[in-house]
Formats: sequence, structure tokens, C-alpha cells
Amino acid sequence: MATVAFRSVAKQFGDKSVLKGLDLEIADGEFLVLLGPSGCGKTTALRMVAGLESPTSGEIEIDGVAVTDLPPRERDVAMVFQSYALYPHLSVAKNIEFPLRQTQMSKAERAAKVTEAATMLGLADLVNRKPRELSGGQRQRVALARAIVRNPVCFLMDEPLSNLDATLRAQTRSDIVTLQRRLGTTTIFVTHDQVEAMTMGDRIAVMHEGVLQQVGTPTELFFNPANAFVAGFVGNPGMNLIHAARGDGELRVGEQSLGAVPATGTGPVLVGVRAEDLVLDPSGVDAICTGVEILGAEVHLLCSIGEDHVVVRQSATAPRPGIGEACGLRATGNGVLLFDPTSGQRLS
Amino acid sequence: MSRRLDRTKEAGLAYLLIAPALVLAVVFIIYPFMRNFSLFLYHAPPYPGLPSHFAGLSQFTTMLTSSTFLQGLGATLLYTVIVVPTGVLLGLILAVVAHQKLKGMAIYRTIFATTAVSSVAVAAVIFGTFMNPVLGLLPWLGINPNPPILQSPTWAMLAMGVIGLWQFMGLSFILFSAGLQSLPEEVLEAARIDGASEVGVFWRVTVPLLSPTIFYAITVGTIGAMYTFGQMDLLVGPYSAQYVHVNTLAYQIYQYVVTEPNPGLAACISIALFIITAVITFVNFRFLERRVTYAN
Repeated sequence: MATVAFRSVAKQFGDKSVLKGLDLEIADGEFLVLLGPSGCGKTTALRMVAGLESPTSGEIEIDGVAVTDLPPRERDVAMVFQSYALYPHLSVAKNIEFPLRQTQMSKAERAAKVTEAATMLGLADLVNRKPRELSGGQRQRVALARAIVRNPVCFLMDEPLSNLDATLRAQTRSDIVTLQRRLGTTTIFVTHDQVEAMTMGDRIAVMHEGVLQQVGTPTELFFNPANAFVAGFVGNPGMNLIHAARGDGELRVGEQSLGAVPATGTGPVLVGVRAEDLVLDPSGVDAICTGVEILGAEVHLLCSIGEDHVVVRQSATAPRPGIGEACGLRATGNGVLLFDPTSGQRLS
Repeated sequence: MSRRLDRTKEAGLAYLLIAPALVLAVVFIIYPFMRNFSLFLYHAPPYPGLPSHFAGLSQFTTMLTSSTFLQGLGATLLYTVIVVPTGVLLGLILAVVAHQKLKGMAIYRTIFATTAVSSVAVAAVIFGTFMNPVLGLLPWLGINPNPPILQSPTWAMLAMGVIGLWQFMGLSFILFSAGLQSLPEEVLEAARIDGASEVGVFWRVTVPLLSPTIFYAITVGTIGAMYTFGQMDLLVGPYSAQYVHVNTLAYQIYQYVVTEPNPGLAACISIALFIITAVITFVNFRFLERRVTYAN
């Protein structure tokens, strides 16, 4: 177990800057999720901790020691890849044993550790199979067993759940969290799926275009996003962002009121309001229902307010407009946040 | 009725499309193969136009008991042993070197691959010049064995092997280069993170992952080597006193067709060579393919 730190880490691929001065510290035993859309630099950051990429500038530290120039094998980290990256020519047991064969460990000790890791991940009956004889979920567990078997100081996981079906993904998500809590190993988990991030991470670091946007607990990110990007990315669905203006104590879209202003000031703003804080109200702003997603007990109404697209969450039994019909929307509750429409930074 | 008509039209179109390939196969593969058996069973007449005589298996028996055939079999196997394992190994090493992301590597790749597309005549001219006892590169370097290499019972076959190796290495290099480029990069990265050194990654991961390519290179190289005679004919020739040392089975077939016409014996040797190659290929499949790992 160890701390991991990025110190002003930047990475360029030719003219393209994929990571712009990342500063981030991960505590000993913490489960940190790097969250962001494709191309935001999260995988590059992870690969730099593994030693598979070198920073253009800055330092990577593991347990306070700069490891920037060390090859991967000297960093004592373990990585789980999106494709699992199992050795196809080796059996499950040999795959799990592979990291141990690179050490001075005796054969008997290696066998005992392989058995322990295989049992922990429910692979005891599969140890003689080759990877091609396993299902996706089983391969995933072999990759995890290979990662935990040598007790590394840090686990690095690069979207390890993205190749699993929805049911298995939910199960494996919970298994990984349980395993990490049990082992207490520092973990950096990369994903673009904010549900994974919210349900797994002690903290989440949200990235966008190579820049760290915000680091915080899932609750902090959900209720107190630092900017419009985080607000729109975190949560399912993400926060609705509506272009409006402040005036006379109200938020207005054109001449119509969206709701009360949560803070003083005037001028244009980007209003952030969660789907559950937006209600149908004939006296609200004009909107058009463009779609309905039925999720069982609740529905998501997809609406447009001018150029802005919003989602309204409501009970499946509540009356709702038909697709293409006009309706009115109003923001309620204390969850309304204001952002600068130019910079996207939080105002309230 | 119309459905049957459509199906007939479709079948007609299908036959039309495969016709060119079928014609080529019949003319250049199936007919010669069948004709071989008729040559094998009949004594060729001393003069064209006279009737052939049925010989049964007598020509084959004669061939099997002749020292020329056994010597040719030995020469063929020796040549194959010289060329194939070394060619596979060198092709792999060169491909690994050329796979490094270094400046100017594209030029080396082109140079390495060129030997695969050079004809045997080109190879014979290049190596013939090297080994020429008067004007060659080797005498210039102070290496001038007596008798000269191409006339030496010890060195002549090795020289043929070096030429074959030079040609096969290019093909082997191309195969391994393609194989290396298709390796899953994440598996190699996983091995590095798991603590393997670069040498360890090569032997424990890269080579096993290349096993299908290695198997293919061995199989193709063996079949190619078993049928080689070009450099033997161009550099030693049937009139040299030493040709007996490089007189492979394929070269014997060529001579029994062109130099001293005996098509019956040529057919016997070609059938024998076909059977020997088939057996070796079968053994390759039986014992080597078991060790091959296909990624998925």
C-alpha cells in the first residue's frame, strides 16, 4: 500500500497536449476514480503511473519516491486492462503465477499464493483452463487474481468493466469494491461511466480535455459541482443546463420565469438544475416534449427549452405531455445552481 | 417454376465466376498431377510416336534401390535442415530488430524484405560472384579454399544452403514482421508490469504468441526447401564433378526431364518427393501445431 502523487504532470503526443499539468494526490488505501469522457487524458495518466508512458514534464511519485524514470517492473504496481490482457498460451493458474515467477519466490510458495488468489476470486475450479475457454466475467476475475497475487502497492484499473454485460458489470463492480476494502490497497480506477465512479470511488477526479476539473467525494461532486462540465457529467442523468438571465429575483428565459434566483446579481447565467428539481408547470417557461424514457416506476421526459435540451424526472403515474406537445417547466427546491455562461465556472 | 429458373441462373453465374480458376487448376495442377501417374506406370518409348509399355511398379522399385535416389534424398534433407531452422531464427531476429521504433528503420525493413522477392538467378549471380575463386569477394578477403567452395564435397551444399537461407530469410522476415505487428500490445505491457524484463517478455510472451507464425514459417519453408534446385543448376550444374553432392531430388526430376530424358523416372521421383513432403508436413502438424497458441 502506498500514496500516489502527480506533480504538475503534462503529456504531449506530437502537437497534441493530452494532459495539462495534472496535480493530484491519492491517499494510502484510497479508491480513486479518474472519470471523464473519451480523450480526456485519464488513461494516459494511469499509464504514466504504470510506467507505460513517460510524462513530457512533471513527476510521478509512489509513496513519496519519484518513479518517473523507473521501468514498469520496478514500480510494484499491478494493472487490470480493459481487454484483460491475459496470456493466451498460459492456463489460468500460470497466468496468475506469472508475476510471481519474476521473483525469487519458491515453487511451493508460488503455488500456495496462486491457490489463495484463485480461491478468493472463485476460480479454483478453472485453474487448468486456457483464457479462451473462459467467459468475459471469468477472464476479468483472472486478471484481478493476477493483479492481487503479488500484493502490489497499488492497483491500476483501466475501464475493466466495459466489456461486461450490464448484470455482470453491476456484480463485478461490487466485487471489486469489496476486494479493495478487504485488501486495503491503493487503487486508481479509470472509467467514463459516472455510475461506476459514483458507486465505487472514495473520491472521484473528473477530467476534461487534459485538465483536472474537480476532485471530491461522489456526494460533493453531485451536490457541489465546481463547474458546468462536472455538473453535466456527474449524475444520471447529468444536471440540466439552461441558458437564462437573472433579474427581479427571478431566473428568466425570455419573458418567462424559470424559478427563484438562489443568489443575488444580474445578467446572463447558465442555470444548473437536476432532473428531479424540474417540474411541469403551465406557468413556467415554454418547452416542447421531444421524447419519453420509461424506466419503470419513474419516467424521464426529454424536453427542449429553445436550444437547450433538458430531462425531467417524474413518477410514471403522473400526467405527462405527449411527444411533440408543448408544456411549461419550472425549477424547484434548493438544488438550483448558477454557472458563468462563458467560463462555465460556478457562481452560486 | 420461376424460383427454379432463378436458382439455375444463379448456379450458372457461380460456375462462370469460378471457371477461370478452375481452368488454371486443371491445366497447371490437376492434369500434370494425373499425368505423373501415367508416366509412373509406363516406360517411355525410346523415340516419340512409338507405343509405351506398361511397367507397373518396376520403375518405382528401380528408383528406390538406386544409390542416386538415396543420395538425392540425403542432399534434400540436408539442404532443408540447413535452410529452415536458421532461416526461421534469423527472420525472427531481424523482424524483432526492425520492429523497434527507431529512425530509418523503414529502410532496413525494405532491405531485409528484398531477398524474398529476388529470383534464384539473382541470388546465384550475387553469391556466385562472392564465391568465385578468382574474382570473388572471399578470395579478396583472403578466404580461398582449395578446392573452391562450389567444387568442394564439404562446402558445396553448405553454399547452396546459404543462398537458400538468404532467400528464405526475407520471407521469414516478412511473416514475423506481420506477426509482431498483430501482437496484442496490452499483453506485452501486462508482462512488463508483472515484472518481466525485456528478454523475459520476448521469450515468455512474444515467442509463444508468435507460435502460429513460427509454425507457418516452418511448414512453408520446409515445403519450399524440399523443391529447390535453381542455385544447384546455375552454380554447380550437371556437368561438374561435384554436382552429386548437391543433386537434390527436385534437381534429379529436372535432369530426368530436361538433360537425360527419362520421364518415367522423373515421375517416380516427383511422386516420392510429394509423399516425403506430405509426411514431413503431416509430422509438422501432428507435433508442432500442438504447441501453437492462437490468441482467441
